[in-house]
Amino acid sequence: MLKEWKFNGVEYKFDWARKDDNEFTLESEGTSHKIQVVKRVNDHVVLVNVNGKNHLLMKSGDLISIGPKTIEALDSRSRQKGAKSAGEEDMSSPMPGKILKVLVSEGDEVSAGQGLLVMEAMKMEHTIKAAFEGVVTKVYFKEGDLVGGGVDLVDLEKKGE
Amino acid sequence: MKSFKKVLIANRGEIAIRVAKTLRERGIESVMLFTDEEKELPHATFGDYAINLGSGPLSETYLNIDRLVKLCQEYQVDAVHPGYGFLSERAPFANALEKAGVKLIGPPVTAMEAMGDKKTSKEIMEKAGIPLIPGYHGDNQESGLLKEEAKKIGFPVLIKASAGGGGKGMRIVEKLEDFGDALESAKREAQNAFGDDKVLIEKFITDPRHIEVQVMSDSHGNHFHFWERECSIQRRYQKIVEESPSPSLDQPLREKICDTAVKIAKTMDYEGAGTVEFILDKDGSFYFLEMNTRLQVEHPVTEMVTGFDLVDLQVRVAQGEKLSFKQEEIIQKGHAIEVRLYAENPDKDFMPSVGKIAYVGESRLIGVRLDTGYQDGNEVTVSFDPMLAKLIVWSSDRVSAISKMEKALCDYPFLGLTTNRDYLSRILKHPRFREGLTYTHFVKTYEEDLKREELSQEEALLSMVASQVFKGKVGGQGEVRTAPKGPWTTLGPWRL
Repeated sequence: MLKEWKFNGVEYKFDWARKDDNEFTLESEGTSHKIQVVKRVNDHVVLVNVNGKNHLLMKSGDLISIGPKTIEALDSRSRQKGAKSAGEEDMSSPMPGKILKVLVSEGDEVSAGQGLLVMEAMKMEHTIKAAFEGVVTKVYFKEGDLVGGGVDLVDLEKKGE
Repeated sequence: MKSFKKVLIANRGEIAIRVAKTLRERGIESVMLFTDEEKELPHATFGDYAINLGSGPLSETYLNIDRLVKLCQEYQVDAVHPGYGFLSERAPFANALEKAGVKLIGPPVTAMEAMGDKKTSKEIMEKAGIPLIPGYHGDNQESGLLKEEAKKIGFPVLIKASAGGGGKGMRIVEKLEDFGDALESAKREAQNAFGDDKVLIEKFITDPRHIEVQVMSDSHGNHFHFWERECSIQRRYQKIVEESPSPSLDQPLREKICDTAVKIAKTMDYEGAGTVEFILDKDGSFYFLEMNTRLQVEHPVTEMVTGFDLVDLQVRVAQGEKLSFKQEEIIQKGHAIEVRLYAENPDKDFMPSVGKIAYVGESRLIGVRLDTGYQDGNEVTVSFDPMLAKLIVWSSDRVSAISKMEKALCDYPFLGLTTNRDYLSRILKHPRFREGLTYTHFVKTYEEDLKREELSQEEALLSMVASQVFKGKVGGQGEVRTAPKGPWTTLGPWRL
């Protein structure tokens, strides 16, 4: 799937293809890279193997840690300017919790504000709503799954793109 | 001699924890303080006893002398460790404790008072023959006399408004011919800004370094130095990189500076831990700046190179113990560097940042020391100092210590808020830093070089990967790891 992200304010385009839960291919500027998730250490730390070499990657919210650098990472497509509040606009989990209900399936057309998932966290129910009108391209969890905080729950693609 | 059984730590955050660790090692109970706002911070639960000071301004909590003294009596503590900042250099606190029969782990009140006043301390130093920055501070403001004084001091000189501040009425004069004009305009500016055109003249040091010496004295007249620290790298007059030994001193000069610091301690009839700060000029001249009568933030680099626990020595001295080692036994071994991690944005004028720390990090190196008052999940607010942590490394030499620090910084992202971590690594990478050309104007001089760089190809690629792989389930192979670590969850196929 074609992705457009901004890292430290600079736009990058790349294609991300999923082979299975832990293997992916990333294509950028005509080069294909083999990505393997070796170990998900915790909510914020993942050990990945990129083209044969291990790297420890860290992420929390919009911040990624690569080596000594903390890099601001923003999805250019799904995020409008200023839309930052977790769980409201970016369709990620506001905090660690449990998925109670999945209200949509992949391929569904949804309108802005429509409920996508219901999760329980801190003994309260939170409905994760669509940030904009679009098509559900990926639902990452099923009912009963436990999720970490700040994890993307649903991918939504804008209509007409 | 009296052995302490219980000590109250009149401080918070990383320094309170650091002090408590040594107390714990020595089998002394610690009484620690916290406020309503700090319930989740590690120092709130680190000690043997914890006192909630409630909420309110600092004057009602950490700085409330009467209240702290009463708590000392209530908890029947033998002594108080003040840490740094807060009440650590306040004579009224020291006096109140003495009256209550509680020992302050710190210097005698006389030394604290003398060194707390810049004018008094300089007068004492002058009497003792300690070098001070050459200057003229007299009342006679006749321009011919001022010019003669400037000539005596030697150019370049700095003209400063006596009533001054903020750079107003300040002029750097490179040569004698320019002195007259500069004096006139400085006086005019001083008159306009402060209503007083009185000026003072000092030698201007073009490339100064900040060198300080750790001293420790017992109550039996023994005074020691624990060598120097160089803390020239500063931003907004605050140190951010500190190291020992200084890359700028040869052994004779090092010994001269350190011996001067010991002489000062003797002159003061000092007791406990102290730091004598000097300004070092390029030609090897050095001048007394001030003496801090407490433990310094950057004390860990000294501990790393000498192998002494300075808090332990403070406690022993306060108990009345005689330090039985010799100066020759205090050896500076290898090289130590400390960096201060701040919640701030160096690319936006070092503006403090706030947020929730999602992940502090974990070292993947040998012997890295992280002194911090935060843990995962803590909220960083504007209520307290924006320092998140001190990261300290030791290695056999400076080059390998720098390399180790660069790697150590990768391991502690303090994810969740903007920090100066990347900025610190840019300093460590700078060729002038590596050459040891560290002057107090470093951050300003190399401002352009220290700006945020574009991402390398590899960093961009890894960013792309990171933007995608955190989607989906947590825990390897699609499983959520929620169970606490322990033999039952980590042993795998082994059977007990």
